[in-house]
Amino acid sequence: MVFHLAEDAYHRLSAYINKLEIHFRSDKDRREIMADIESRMAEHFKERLTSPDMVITLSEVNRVIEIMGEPSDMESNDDTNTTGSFYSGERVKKRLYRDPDGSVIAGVCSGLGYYWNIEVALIRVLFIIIFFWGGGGLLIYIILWIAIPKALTVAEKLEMKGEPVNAENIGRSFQDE
Amino acid sequence: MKVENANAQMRKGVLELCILSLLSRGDAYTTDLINKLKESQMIVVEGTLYPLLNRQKNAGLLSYRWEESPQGPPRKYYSITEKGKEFLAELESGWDTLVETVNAIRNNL
Repeated sequence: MVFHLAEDAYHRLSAYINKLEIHFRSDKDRREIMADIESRMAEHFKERLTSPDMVITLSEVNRVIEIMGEPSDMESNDDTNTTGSFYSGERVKKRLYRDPDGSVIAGVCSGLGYYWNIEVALIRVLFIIIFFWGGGGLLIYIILWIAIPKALTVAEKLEMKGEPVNAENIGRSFQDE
Repeated sequence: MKVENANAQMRKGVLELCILSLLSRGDAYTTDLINKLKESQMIVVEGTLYPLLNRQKNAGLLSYRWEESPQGPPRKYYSITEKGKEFLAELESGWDTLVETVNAIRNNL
């Protein structure tokens, strides 16, 4: 089934889907749940369409989102919490990423800084020292550059900083940018 | 603490019982379940139901099959399993006890 969306409607919808995907990210059945939710949304859109090429407006998208509800209304079956019915507090797990926002070369040092909670400058100085010592610093840097993924999405950047990935924090990051 | 939040939490707890109870009277499409639960104001937004159905399915309380629909893509058709029926019986007795206890407390005070 193909829908035509107005541009603002498309952005609103994809932001909503993104938010849900983040919410269910640690659920092993996230694909199935997302598919269920998406097909239900499609049903709602279809009900209002009078012709197949009618364009879906922002207000229509907002109407359907209101029917479906916010992620906070949906419990997520986190693998660590399969028996509890109520949503328990979110665990914060830091991940090692390269930081594209605070980078000099590829963001390796900045990412390590977040991961170990050390001043970035200290790590950079260390790398430069190893570099001049025997040249191994450059090789180590390049290996880390290849091995560590770059934090691309807002969720990954929050994971890099060890902040909980939830709708509020993501909203805040968007405002910061 | 808001009254709506407290009430929503209360409903959420018995929502599992309601889903199983509805399905014990016959198989249903997700949309049917949603409509019934919305009518009786057990759920406010539809999204609440999907993770819950998924969890009950994983626990072996429900199963579903795909059925062709006259218009649009195939739809999920849920039914309750034997395990689900046993679970429901236990939830129901738990619910009855709870109602009795709560009423007893409210009336005695």
